[in-house]
Amino acid sequence: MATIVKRVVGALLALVGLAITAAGVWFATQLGTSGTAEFAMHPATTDPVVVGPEVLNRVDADVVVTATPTEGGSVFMALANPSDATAVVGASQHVTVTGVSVRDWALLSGTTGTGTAPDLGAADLWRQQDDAKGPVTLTVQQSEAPETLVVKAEGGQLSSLTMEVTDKSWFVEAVVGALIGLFLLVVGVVLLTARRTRHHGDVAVQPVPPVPDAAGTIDPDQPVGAGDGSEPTVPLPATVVSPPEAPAAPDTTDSPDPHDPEEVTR
Amino acid sequence: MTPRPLPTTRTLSRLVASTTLLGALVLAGCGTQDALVGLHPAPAEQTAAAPLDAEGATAVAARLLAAKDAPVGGDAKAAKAARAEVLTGDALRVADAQATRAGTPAGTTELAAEPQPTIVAQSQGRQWPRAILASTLDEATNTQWLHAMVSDKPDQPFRIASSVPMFGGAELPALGEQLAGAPLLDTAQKNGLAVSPAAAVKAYAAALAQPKGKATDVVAADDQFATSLKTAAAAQAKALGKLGTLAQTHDPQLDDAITFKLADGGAVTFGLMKRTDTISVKPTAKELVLPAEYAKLLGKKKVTKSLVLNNLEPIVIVQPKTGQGRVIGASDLLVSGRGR
Repeated sequence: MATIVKRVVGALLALVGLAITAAGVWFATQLGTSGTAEFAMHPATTDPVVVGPEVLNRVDADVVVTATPTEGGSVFMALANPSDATAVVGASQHVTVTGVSVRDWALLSGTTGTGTAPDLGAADLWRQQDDAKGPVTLTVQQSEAPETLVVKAEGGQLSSLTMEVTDKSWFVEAVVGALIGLFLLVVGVVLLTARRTRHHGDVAVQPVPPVPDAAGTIDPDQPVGAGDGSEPTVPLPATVVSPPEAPAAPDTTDSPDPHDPEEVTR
Repeated sequence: MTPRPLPTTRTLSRLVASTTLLGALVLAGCGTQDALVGLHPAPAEQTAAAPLDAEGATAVAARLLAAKDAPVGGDAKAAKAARAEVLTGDALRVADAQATRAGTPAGTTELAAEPQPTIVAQSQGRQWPRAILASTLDEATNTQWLHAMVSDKPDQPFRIASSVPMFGGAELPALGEQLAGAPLLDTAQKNGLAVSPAAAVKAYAAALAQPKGKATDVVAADDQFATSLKTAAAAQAKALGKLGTLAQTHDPQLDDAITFKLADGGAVTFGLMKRTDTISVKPTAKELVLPAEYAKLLGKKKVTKSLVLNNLEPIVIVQPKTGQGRVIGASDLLVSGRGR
């Protein structure tokens, strides 16, 4: 039973270690030594795209957002207080970025609202804004959090929106994770492949019989046995000494078996 | 005595396995991953604050003041549309009236001010309407101007709602920490004051009436503006002599008034009054010959029965938490008239 548990634990550890190792290596290669995570989406829309603080302001590092319009178009991109951005976009149809997917480094989004958005550029509520033909980039500084980013393509569609975060510690953590996973994998494999050499049951100590009145003597220069491999000729005392290693399964017989090679008599 | 069993290899293996598994589970547990990569909840928005930072508010004010003074091309309709892009409320009403009277764009009016604003205060909170209170110094006349700028809706930009020159030596009490914002108050409500700002303006208007104003202790009526009006009215009455009489009334026009709460609990209100000067020609007079300014406005050089002149008077009135209010700035602009 104990062996089964040990092997199950070993298998689990090996699997977990393998997974963590793979994840660590994958993250390390994806993030690079700079620890840069880049998430992207391709909304292909003329509606405003709103990126809230639950996406922009959950890390300590600054977030660089780049919006690229389709050929010939321009992009309006601005930062505002979250409540201001919500108020100006209102109930008009817009795309909301709800989170990120690390698996494919994508920005997750959903479309809500109806109707056409107002002229966002006319509003006087933007903390920072830029409007240009071609790609536009804004840096979200965490010291100004919370903020909401609003992006809208003009004269075309919004081709892509990328969000880049750089944290060098992520790469270090990925490497450390891979090493931890490797350790778990090794431990698991060891547990899984360790063979049962003996059954390590409890040691049964036999009671010590009383010493006979006329104890025999042993000449250390003389063989104890008969010399032909048969029974010893000298009467044996009943003292039984446990072997230096744990004996096999406890023998419940009252007297030691003189033929047991693991028992040493003297 | 039973000997204590020594830890066996199996025991050690179990210990290592259990510890490692536990560690792995803890590392993979809820929240641990977020903490490992530095993820945390986004900070909450502080809504009881000024909507714009100082830099943003200054940029808005500078843009508006520059646009107000910029020359406008096109016909009267285009000029009016251009004014409406920059002005609103009382300021738009004054500018339109002035343009109608003079036939010139608002960029050349006396409302012109140096486009180097200092932000005095912003409205507090995230709701609309929002307001910015800015000041500029006209170095040519050494006159300090106060400008109230308003954004009525989220998708509408700020516009200048009122521009008023301050009297020499007048002071505007503090409105509190700029980034904290100063709450906008309802002009018609008392807001913890002795009287509402609307009532204070009304009392001031009544006190300025000629030939006999209505005395009030709500607001002082001995400021520079009130004194000059009384002096001018007295001079006018004296000039008319037995030929006519002068009656002057001031009618508060507070639909677009803006009131900020002061740091000490008082209020500062940007309001507008419409002044009506009525000169009645006495039967003893055959006619009254009008000064050139009035003649141009009315399109006639003389009147035989009466002359009515209309002025718009933007004012700024300060009310302390307790005590008498005081007008700290005002101007008047002759906008229309009629004569018989």
